[in-house]
Amino acid sequence: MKRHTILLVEDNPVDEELTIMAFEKNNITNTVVVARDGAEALDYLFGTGTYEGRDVVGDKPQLVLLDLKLPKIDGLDVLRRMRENELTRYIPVVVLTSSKEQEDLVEAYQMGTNAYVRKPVDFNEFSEAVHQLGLFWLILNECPNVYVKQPI
Amino acid sequence: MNKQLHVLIIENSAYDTALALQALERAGYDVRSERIGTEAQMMAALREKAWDVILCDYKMPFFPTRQALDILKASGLEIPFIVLSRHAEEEAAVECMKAGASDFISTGNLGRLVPVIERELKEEEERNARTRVEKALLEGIEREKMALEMINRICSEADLGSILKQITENVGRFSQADRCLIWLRDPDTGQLRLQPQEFRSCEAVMSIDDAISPNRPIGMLALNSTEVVNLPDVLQLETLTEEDRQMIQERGVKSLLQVPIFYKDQLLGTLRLNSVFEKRVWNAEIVRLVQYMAAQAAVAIYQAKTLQDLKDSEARKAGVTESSLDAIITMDHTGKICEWNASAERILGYRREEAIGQDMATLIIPERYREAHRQGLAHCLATGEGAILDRLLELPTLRSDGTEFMAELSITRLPIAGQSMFTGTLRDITQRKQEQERIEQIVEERTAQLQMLNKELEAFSYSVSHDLRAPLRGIDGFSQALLEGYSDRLDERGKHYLDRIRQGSQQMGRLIDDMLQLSRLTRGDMTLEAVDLSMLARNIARDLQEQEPERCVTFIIAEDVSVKGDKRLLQAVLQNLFDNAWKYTSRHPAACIEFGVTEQDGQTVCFVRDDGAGFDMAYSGKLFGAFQRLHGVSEFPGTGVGLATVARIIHRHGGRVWAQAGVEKGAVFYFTLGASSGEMLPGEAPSGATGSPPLKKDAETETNNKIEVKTR
Repeated sequence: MKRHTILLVEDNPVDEELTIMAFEKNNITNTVVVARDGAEALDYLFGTGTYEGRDVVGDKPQLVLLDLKLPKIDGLDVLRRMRENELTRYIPVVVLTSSKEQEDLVEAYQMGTNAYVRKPVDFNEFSEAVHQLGLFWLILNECPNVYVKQPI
Repeated sequence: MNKQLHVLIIENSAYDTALALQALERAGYDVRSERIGTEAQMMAALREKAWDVILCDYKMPFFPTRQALDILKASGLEIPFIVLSRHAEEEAAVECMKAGASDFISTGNLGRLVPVIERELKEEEERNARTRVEKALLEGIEREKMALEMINRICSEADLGSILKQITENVGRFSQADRCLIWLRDPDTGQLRLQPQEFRSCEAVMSIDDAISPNRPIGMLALNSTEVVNLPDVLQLETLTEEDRQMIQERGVKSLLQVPIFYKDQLLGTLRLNSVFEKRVWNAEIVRLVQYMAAQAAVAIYQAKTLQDLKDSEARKAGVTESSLDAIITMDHTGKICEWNASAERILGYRREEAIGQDMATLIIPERYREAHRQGLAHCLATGEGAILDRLLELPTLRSDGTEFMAELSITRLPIAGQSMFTGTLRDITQRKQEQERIEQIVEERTAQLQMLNKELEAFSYSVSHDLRAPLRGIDGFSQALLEGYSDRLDERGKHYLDRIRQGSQQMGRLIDDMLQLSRLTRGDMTLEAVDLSMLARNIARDLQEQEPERCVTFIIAEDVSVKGDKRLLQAVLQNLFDNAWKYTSRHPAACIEFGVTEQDGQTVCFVRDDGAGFDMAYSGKLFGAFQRLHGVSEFPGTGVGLATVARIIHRHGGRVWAQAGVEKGAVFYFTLGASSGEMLPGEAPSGATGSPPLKKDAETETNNKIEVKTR
């Protein structure tokens, strides 16, 4: 079985490393692509910019872990654009952020996030959260296979 | 006792009349007589003496009886004239009687003489009495006439000064006093003041009154006497001091009459008469008339004073109206202007004479409102009710130059002489409006600034929650990574240090979370609703027990405690207080946590009480400050934000929170919710069955140890 890509949208290198550390600790071996701002994430998803020519249909990420506070284009905007496009509409997105503000939660769900996880300070708790996410979204969860010839 | 009888006898020989005199003496008269025989003698006798009766011999040779009767008639005296005759000649008798004789007696019938004389004397007496009465009557009428004339003259005067002048002049002349004065009583102070309008018979006259002052009343001559004081000889007055006497003598005052001036029961003043040149006895009748005049004068004085008061009050009112900064405009029921003060001229631009009589609506109401105004006026006149009466209105108003301004006005209806009059007070509030708009603008700007600040603050706390936590996660995560991946290369101490690092970062993570909660609770709008605190408390207690089922804690929760407040915030209050109670009783094998309400100083107070570790009241000042703790973390964990959160929420509700505790004696946290938001709802009086009030261990300690948290 082909291991699908996980797109990690995270601008903080510490959090990036911790997340990858947690994947490793929980034996999640999927390829992890890291986008360090919202624009890069969209480029990857739609094959634009530095990702020009990428097979965006054949190599769709199986899960997007999305931070909200991002340089250039923020997480909610990335989410909105994903949900507006047939190509990315059904890709599971888990908002992974430090914020617990009600406003962020509400907006994220309005934009169509599949889950919202607050990164705990305690690494063990964080690791456990990543484990649960992997288990659910990479193994248990089924997504519809919708391919659209003309993206955007 | 013999009555004296003066008899004038006209005859030649004494003999004829001797018998007559004898008869009179026998009848008991003490007769004094004189005999004359000529015309000249008779005239002299009548002129020089008073006679009771004249006896005349009929047949005097040179002095006929007829002539004597004429003399008597000419003298104007009315003395009984009796003719005596030796012969009873009827013809002669008739002739004498016709000529005016009283009777005709024949000497042969002298027995008639005494009865006739007695009859004549009686008649004479009656006649005299009648004349006296008539005379007195005539005099009285004359005086009454004078009094009436005086009253007429007084009544024709309108002002007080002229009235007083008329009174003193007339009473003075009438009573033939040398001086007549009036003292009037000041209705406010009750003191009498000498009025300048006085009467003097001549310039030189002096009076006691000039020397009298309220500080120096003369003897008993108290001016405010309500009685008539009549002193024909002033110096006879016993109460006079030597000084008074001297003063009176210097001024030459001899007699004095004082009459009070009454109007109904009110003493208006005193009328004073002085006689200087001679002693004068004002008899009862004059006194009565002076009193009568005083009574009439009183009416005139009273009326004049009332009129004066009315005029003064009118003048004052007019002054107020004229000096008012507001335009004061009155219109009648037809809408015509009948009052227009100086401010109306200034504010509206029409002169008084231009405005009076004009239609008010046409003059100052903008055209688009005129129809509504006319309908309103018609409705008000028809029904007596007016929606715009007696309250403050703001209406655009026209100036004479056609420009409009915003006016604040109030209109009052005055029923005058059966018709409605409307008085409006109007002020130009253009400036105030501008000021208001400016203030509103400032408020708007400030609000915008404040909102921006709030936004910034939110952004800040967002950053705090987001960005401060990220490095903490790194510290914790990499410490953990070291512990896991490099444990073979770390000794126990190294591992311990890494644990310390992890504990620190986790503690800081909690602090950040609590701080965020605190700031979230004090921001945002409050939604006031009925909140069932009892239910909230029960749920919290259940959760706590479920979390640590091994603990033995009794909860006592009062039923039906309901307040008005923000549910989410009050939930946080109870959560924090219960968390604390739960935490600080954790070292005791068994504990009791109570929620209830009680009365303090007539106010309903909620409380959460535990029997746990408590605290030293000496440190109670730190209790409600953020990040302030009275216990070490090793003893009881916590960040010190819980009670700060409680205090903030209670203050947002306008209430108070305080605590009472002792080391190892438990703690009670009291709170009230302010009148605006946190009123206790009806039906939640402390219920004895479930929520017993807090035990007062020591009333004095309790008040001394009460902590109140002041509003920020």
